[in-house]
Amino acid sequence: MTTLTATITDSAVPRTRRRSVRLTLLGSGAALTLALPYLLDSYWLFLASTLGVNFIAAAALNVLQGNAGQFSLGNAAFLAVGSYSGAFLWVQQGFPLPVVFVGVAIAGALAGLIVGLPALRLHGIYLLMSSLAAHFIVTFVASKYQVANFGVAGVPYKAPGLGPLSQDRSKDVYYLIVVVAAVVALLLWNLLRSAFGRALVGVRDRDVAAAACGIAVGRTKLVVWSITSSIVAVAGLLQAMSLGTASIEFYTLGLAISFVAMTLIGGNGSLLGSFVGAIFVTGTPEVISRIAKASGASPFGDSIWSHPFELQRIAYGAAIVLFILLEPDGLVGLGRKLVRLVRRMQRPRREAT
Amino acid sequence: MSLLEVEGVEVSYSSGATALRGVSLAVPEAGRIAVIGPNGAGKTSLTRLLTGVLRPYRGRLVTGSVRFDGRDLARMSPGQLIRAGISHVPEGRGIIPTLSVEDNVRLVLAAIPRRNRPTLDQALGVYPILLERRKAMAGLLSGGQQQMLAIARALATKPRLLIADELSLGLAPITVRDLVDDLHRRSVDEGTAVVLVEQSATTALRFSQYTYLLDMGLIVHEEDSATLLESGAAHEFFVGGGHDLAPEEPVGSK
Repeated sequence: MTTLTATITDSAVPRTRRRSVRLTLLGSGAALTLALPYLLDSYWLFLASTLGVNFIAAAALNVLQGNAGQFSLGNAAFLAVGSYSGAFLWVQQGFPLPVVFVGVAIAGALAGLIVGLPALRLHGIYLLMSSLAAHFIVTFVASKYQVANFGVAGVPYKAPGLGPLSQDRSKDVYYLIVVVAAVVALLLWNLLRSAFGRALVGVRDRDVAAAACGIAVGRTKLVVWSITSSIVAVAGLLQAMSLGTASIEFYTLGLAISFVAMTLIGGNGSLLGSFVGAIFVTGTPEVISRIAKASGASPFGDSIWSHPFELQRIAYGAAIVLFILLEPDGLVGLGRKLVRLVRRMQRPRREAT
Repeated sequence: MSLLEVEGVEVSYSSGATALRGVSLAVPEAGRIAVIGPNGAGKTSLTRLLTGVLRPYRGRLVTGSVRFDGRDLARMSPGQLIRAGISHVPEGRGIIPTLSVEDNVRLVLAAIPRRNRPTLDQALGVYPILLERRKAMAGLLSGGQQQMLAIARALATKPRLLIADELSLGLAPITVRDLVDDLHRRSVDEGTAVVLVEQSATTALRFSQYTYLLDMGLIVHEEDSATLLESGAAHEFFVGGGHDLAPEEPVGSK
């Protein structure tokens, strides 16, 4: 066997032990996730909710971008599709929550289908341009809808209210997000391991070869656009619930790009990468604003810490450029390299004993 | 009636270019034919037409008909073509480099109805080396092995007609000879008809029973392959046809 396949399949740690380590990690992670609302104050809980929403949307985008090779700047638009179709179904019409979720998912899928249509003919940067057009069209329509029905202040979102399980708003929203995030992660994880996941890679890397395998290239692209946009729309609904409002100024191009940043920084085409990237992008502004506060710089001063917002943008930009240039597999790729390095250092020692 | 009948086919692209200008050819059941021609002759458009991917390339069938076993082929999707019994070995490295050897084959198995579906091992077993390297990334195989994978994948569907596009591209002459001889044997054993679309005239003539010479979107000559090989007509048609196994030889480039 070649050295490359050897490093993938073979490992110094026995498989059963590795599995039990993994299960323990997963179990304690789940327990911690469920306990968080009782450990954190409301501000940190809100951040955790934001992280969850970001992960949901980033995971979907990562499938579209990393696995299917379809680049999109329509993320803020799809979030807005979710929050504004939610505004109609929930805030205006008062449908029950499950109906709202299904309705929002369908609206997102339809929007994704339409935005994905140019993907049948366009590739790369041209496709990016068409999703950019979608961004401006959707935000324009949404702003008209918002002003006509709710006014400039935005759509007021009430607490989700989980019936007998209901506690307070932020806890309810948090648990809702955790459940959806878990479902989405499982769904995407299985999707990528199915025949459809292989078809996606085929369409991304060799569409002619994929067609030779009987894959309808165009239909595969449309399906992946629909699925991922549907998920992003649901994330948009959850986001509006978490924020307590949907307001059009929120859905900027910068927001759309921040999701691209999550996938590129975390690791293109990796579910774990979406999570790590979401942590990075959710956490960076927090870290920077805390340093800015600690530095004691006046918001009107000349110090660079006087401009935390600009610093955040610079941090994203620099991180994206650095990762694309130095580590295309993102933080996850970096982590794998470190693990491999540690193992290689351990191995000779083990042989010696 | 022949297995595949192409009649008066004209193909043009939305850019305005016309690639095929009235091409007719026939493939008998279990027959082996070759279509040879220089760059830009229309070979690629012909394979696209026969494998159902004209539309993604913004091409369309203007006039003419393509019938496979009496059925109209022109409107079939890639999946339908496979189920109808047509397999395709795409040009160059017709595999997906970022998937494992196994996953490449799994991809095509999913397109076959369950009752006709071979097992993964049967499909890989066409070339034992593929069984050996089943977990490896397809892109890490040697050029010849990649081509074997593409052929094994095409054969997994038990096709009645195999369309092989530029098998010789970028491969060592000795590898090409082995692959083509092997394909010849399988075609005879299994009764699979093969259309070999090639730039390399010698390879194509040695393999096939009947040969079509394609140039500028037209069939300019057709003849029994053995006669053509002897008469050297193909060599007159091509520049440097005698040495065309060497990839560096410019073959009638315009």
